Amino acid sequence: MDLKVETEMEQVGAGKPSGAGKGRIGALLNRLPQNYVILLVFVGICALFTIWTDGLFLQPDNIVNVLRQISINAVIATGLTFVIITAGIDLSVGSIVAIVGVFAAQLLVKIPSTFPVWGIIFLACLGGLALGALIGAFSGFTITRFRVPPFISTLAMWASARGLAFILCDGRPVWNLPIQFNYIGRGYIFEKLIGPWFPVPVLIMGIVMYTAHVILTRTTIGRYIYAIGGNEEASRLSGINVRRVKMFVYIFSGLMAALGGIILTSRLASGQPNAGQSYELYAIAASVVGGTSLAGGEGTIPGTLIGALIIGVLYNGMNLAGVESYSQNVIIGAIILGAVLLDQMKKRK
Amino acid sequence: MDDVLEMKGIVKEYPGVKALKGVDFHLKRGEVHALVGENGAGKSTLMKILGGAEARDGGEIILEGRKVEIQDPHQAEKLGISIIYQEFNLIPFLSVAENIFLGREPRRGIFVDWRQLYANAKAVLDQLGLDIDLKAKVSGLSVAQQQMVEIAKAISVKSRIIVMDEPSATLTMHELERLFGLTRKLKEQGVGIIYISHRLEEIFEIADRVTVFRDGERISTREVRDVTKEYLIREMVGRELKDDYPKRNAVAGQELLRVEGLTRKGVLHEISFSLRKGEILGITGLVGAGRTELVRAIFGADPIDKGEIYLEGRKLRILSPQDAINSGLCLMTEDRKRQGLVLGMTVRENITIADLRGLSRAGFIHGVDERRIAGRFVRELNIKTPSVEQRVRNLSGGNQQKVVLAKWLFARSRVVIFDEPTRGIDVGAKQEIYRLMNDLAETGTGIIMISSELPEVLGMSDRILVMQEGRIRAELGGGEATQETIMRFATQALVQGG
Amino acid sequence: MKIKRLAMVFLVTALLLSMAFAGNVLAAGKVIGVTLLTREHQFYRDLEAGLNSEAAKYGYKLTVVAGEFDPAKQAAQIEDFIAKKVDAIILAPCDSKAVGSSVAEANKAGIPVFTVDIANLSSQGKVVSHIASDNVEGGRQAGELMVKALKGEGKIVVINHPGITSVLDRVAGFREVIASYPKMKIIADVPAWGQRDKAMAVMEDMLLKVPDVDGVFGINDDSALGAVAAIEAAGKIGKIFVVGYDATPEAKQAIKDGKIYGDAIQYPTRIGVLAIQTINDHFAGKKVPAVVPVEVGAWTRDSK
Repeated sequence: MDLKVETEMEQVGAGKPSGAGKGRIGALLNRLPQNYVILLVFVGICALFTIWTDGLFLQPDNIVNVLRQISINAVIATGLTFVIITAGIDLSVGSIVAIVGVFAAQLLVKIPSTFPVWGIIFLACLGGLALGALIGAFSGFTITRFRVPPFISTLAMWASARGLAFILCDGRPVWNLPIQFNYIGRGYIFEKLIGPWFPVPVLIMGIVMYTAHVILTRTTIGRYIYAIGGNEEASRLSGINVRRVKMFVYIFSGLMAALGGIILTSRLASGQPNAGQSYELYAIAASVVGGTSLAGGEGTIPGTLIGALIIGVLYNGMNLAGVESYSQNVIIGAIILGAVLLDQMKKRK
Repeated sequence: MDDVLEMKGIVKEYPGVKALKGVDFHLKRGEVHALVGENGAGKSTLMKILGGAEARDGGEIILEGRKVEIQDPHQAEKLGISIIYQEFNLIPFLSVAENIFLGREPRRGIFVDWRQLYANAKAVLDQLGLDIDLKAKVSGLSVAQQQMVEIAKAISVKSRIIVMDEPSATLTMHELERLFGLTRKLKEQGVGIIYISHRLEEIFEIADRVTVFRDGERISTREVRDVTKEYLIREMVGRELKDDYPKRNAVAGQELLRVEGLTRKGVLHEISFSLRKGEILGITGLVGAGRTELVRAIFGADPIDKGEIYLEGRKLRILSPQDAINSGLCLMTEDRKRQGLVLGMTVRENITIADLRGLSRAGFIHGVDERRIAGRFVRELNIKTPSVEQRVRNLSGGNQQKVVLAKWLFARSRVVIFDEPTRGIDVGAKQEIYRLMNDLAETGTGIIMISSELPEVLGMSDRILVMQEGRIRAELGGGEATQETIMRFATQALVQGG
Repeated sequence: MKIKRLAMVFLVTALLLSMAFAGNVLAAGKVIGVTLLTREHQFYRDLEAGLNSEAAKYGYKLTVVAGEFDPAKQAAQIEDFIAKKVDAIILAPCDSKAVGSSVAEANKAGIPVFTVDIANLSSQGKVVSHIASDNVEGGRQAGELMVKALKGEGKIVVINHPGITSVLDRVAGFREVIASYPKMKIIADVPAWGQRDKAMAVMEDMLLKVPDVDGVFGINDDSALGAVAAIEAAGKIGKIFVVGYDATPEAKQAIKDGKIYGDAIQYPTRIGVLAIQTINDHFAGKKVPAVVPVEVGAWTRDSK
């Protein structure tokens, strides 16, 4: 039995990059079967709507449309997935969307126009993101320092942030935003080259989710997030700074909600204090439908993406198919429950 | 028809492992039938199938001549099969009586008939000759008492078969005697008892027959009076085991760790001791003597009120486990499932968790190295797992323990604290753990080992600290310690008081 | 001596001031409890402003709260008003039916109840007077605007908020006008719950489902502006005509910019003013009408 692990450790720096690439693809394939049931559900729903709407659903236009519509929820759900994996919850995201939207809009309007307009937009976005991170940090602080249960802490923030959003703008939507700001929510990448096929919010969603996926699967903090959700006490006794990791996830969640708020504000061209209502529920639904366990320790970003897609596709498809509004909500509820049940049944086996 | 239970050709497969390869098993009415085997040999899996906790992939179960399907634990209970697991299924904040009749409370209308409940509970306890306060909350009971409550619960549902999974693991000598008394009583009442234990001595004391499992197969079933301990061990491991405790070659070197005046109000009082390089320091005492509390305090898992810790003469500032680990300390906790492992994560992830930073650059984990290192530990510690990507949940107890050890080896710990390292681990794995401890000591690592098993403490330690009521009562050199001297110090106050 | 005179002056001033205040307090003896549907929408903020300015004239003291769409919360607020023994209650019900029992309770305590904007449709409870804009008429105004915009011909989508009486009235009025033009057709009626982000999403879907849509009627300005956001993003401003309701400042700007064709406009401030005047008449012992209709109008680019 050779215990000289140290020497072994020093040699490992010279790993082969080609091997790493192969491993990554392998890991990706490994992830796939985990989500395959939910993927099937998604494909099934798409097929159903395609038939129901005589193919309208599968038109490229509509695919772009759906991707754009889910982008905000997907971004918010990405943050929430981190939180839920640690066995926490963040109910404040919808309110953060509102307050950040109002705040960023006010910055856009109030920063003196002696600044170049892109500078103003940059500052406003930065300010909005900072505000979201700050709110997340506050929730995280009360959770880690004073052991307030996340449900309560973020429920309080859900109420307070919404109220603050109204106070901030005196209840009036903030509008007359610079036209260039619309690009974030409504613009297209390479529009002159390829036409309106690649919406900016979809690009943002892609970057955010890819980054989040890399964080979760390949970095130390990602590993710690899973570990804490799986067994907090064992994680602490393994030397993980549990408080710091939890602070990170709540700040991250606040940040993602803020990003969602900025995109929404740009899409509406207006900062609305009543925007983002029940977004926390859509985000939780996306995350959970995508296989994240509310008990912690489990969940993936690709899963969350599929979850967000399912919910987005349902609303879009039902609108296209002309499903009457009261039935829409009933169907959404049933599908969320059904998807999670299917997943549970798969896990049992 | 003498058999109360017959299991025929039971097969169970997990991804990558064939846990049971067509096992036959018979249990007679009113017998105590011991199951022995190394961890992962299949005995626990067989019992899980019997208890409805796992579905079988093949074979049949015949209960009193009738073929039965057992889909879930509830159905098993209905059929008269009770399993008492190592982790009890009791509700801590309910009373003893409530726990015994949980879900089956006698009712009057929609209300619980409390008088009837207590009367019934008392009847059950009397039947077993137990003296436990019916209205006491379970959370306030000792482990042994909780176990008695579990048994009472099994009796109250008129179980025909009771499975005891490692019932003695957490019991003191005295409590064990009572368990045996109770077991004999159950036997007289015609209950078939399946008794799983790693302590072979107990089997000779209590069991009528013994079945040995190895690698998912039943090796043999014999009358206990016809076999010897050596025979059982040979059957279990499939080879001869020589010494109980391997020879030590390590020579204790310079002082490595020194603890001075460590105090935690009401728990630890002015604890001072030192540990040298390459030394194995045993800490023993009765349950509740403050041994676990002591090492948790050193490790930064619990706050301390006073005291200093030095590593190679340098004062350490330990406020959290993180600080302790960074200083080169580690703690193998007694309860590995709750404190040592993230059961839902893979072998690989558990092995590297305590020193991920050593495997990463700028926060990114080097995946290839991680897999290689995890693979290395799996080979070197002989961890039985289909791959490093297996979830730790699916491993047997001994292999889980090895994963925890691998974690700390990877974190390059200089002081390794073992809290009951061989609890719930079979003979073969035990020897492996002992050998690993010795190997570690030879590399100059200082080892602190908490153990309740006196032969283990005596066999492994260079020096022994005896604790009692949060104090160190004695420090004994390897030569002067005997079971008797240790017990005298461990029960000092009790003896003086009595 | 000087000091004495100064002290006298102070004393007299203080006395006069306190008398003046006392007089005011006597005049403002009446307290009116107000519970609105919400205080978050521009419409109700304007209504509240009308109430406040008019109440100040008569020296009434207002306590303004809102149920925020929660009938239970509003019921509790009315209970509080009854407990405080206010002199009158102004109510914009969160639920036209559920509010009846609360009104009945106020009746029992002898407190007169007035509803604004949304009526009490329950068989229970008696309301002295209902002050509201004529939503059916507003819907007709919107319909006429749409007719003008599309020149009497085209496909129309309604962005609806199902379940609200005033909205039902608006849509009824709107449909009534459209029905009299055989070449105009309402091809879809979709819900967006009066919220801008949801209105934008449904409009995006509609643009795909019926790319040749000609007109959109949003039942409030958030609905209309949400539709505008989607239309604008699709580059179809000028091809699709949007008619809104309420003419909030933001909508007026959009009308000016040519993004919205026109709005039916209510005068919420006027509703507030009329509500207080009606209560004043009631206090003075005059007979007040059971329904006080408040005029509605149309707001287009040409409006001032």
